[in-house]
Amino acid sequence: MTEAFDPGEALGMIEDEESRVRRALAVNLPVQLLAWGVAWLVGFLALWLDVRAHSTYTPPGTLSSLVFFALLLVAGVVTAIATTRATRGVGGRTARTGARLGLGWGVGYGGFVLVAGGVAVYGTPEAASVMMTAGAVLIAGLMYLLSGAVWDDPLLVRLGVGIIAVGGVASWTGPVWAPLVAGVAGGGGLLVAAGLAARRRRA
Amino acid sequence: MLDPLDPVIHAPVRLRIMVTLAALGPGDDLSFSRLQSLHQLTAGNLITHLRKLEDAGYVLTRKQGRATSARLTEEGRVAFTTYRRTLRSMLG
Repeated sequence: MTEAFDPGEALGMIEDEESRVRRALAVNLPVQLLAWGVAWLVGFLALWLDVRAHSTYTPPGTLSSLVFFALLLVAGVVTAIATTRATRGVGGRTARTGARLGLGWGVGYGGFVLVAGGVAVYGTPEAASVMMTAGAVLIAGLMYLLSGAVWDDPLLVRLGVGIIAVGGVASWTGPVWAPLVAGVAGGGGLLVAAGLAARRRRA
Repeated sequence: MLDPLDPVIHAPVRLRIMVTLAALGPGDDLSFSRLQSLHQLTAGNLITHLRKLEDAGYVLTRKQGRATSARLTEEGRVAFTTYRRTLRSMLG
């Protein structure tokens, strides 16, 4: 770097290297949001198609529930791969923050399963179904909002607020229509956020 | 009169190490193996350059079990900023 040294070239190299490293270390948010958006859209639609086929309310059957949870599992695996690929070897504050947020998702849904179980035991099947759909959406919205606050990401904050609103509206549409609202508005919202995140990542 | 470029940073491999560690968030570190794979460096090469950066007080390495990680010190962050500023001032 001493002979025929060009400071402009060196600065360019620093900037290129900086953006390459930042990209390598950044979790691929568009891919994660896309996986969850597809899972919500298709999964909730499967549940809705199942429950709307009955004249009196009947909870979703085995097949539609299997489709729903299989899609969630795939999205979970995509998230895990995208996260470990980007953050491998990164330690310190960012790693601790990420682990705590991950704990929030796990513990949040763990607690929610207990609450929904209690409602299923003491409430009507309709109430339990509304609780399952709207509550699950609400928790995801809160976690997105929290992630946006922690990572200082306005896109995630807006997504979180929108998903919380979807959960609130879905609960008032009742046990049959709630999955449709969650799938179209919630899954659709995630897909829009995935598109915005992809555009931002390319910029 | 321009300041001379810091000779500790002014070497391609060390400059890339500095860029990488400076791209991390405050209080973050990066494992030796990730640093190696990000820049396709041999272990020997990386160790040599990390040691030079550590001797200058720019980088702190930490061994936990079998894994080693590196992070930029405050001094290193200042030195890297100064290096960039000097390059920019050379352009006039």
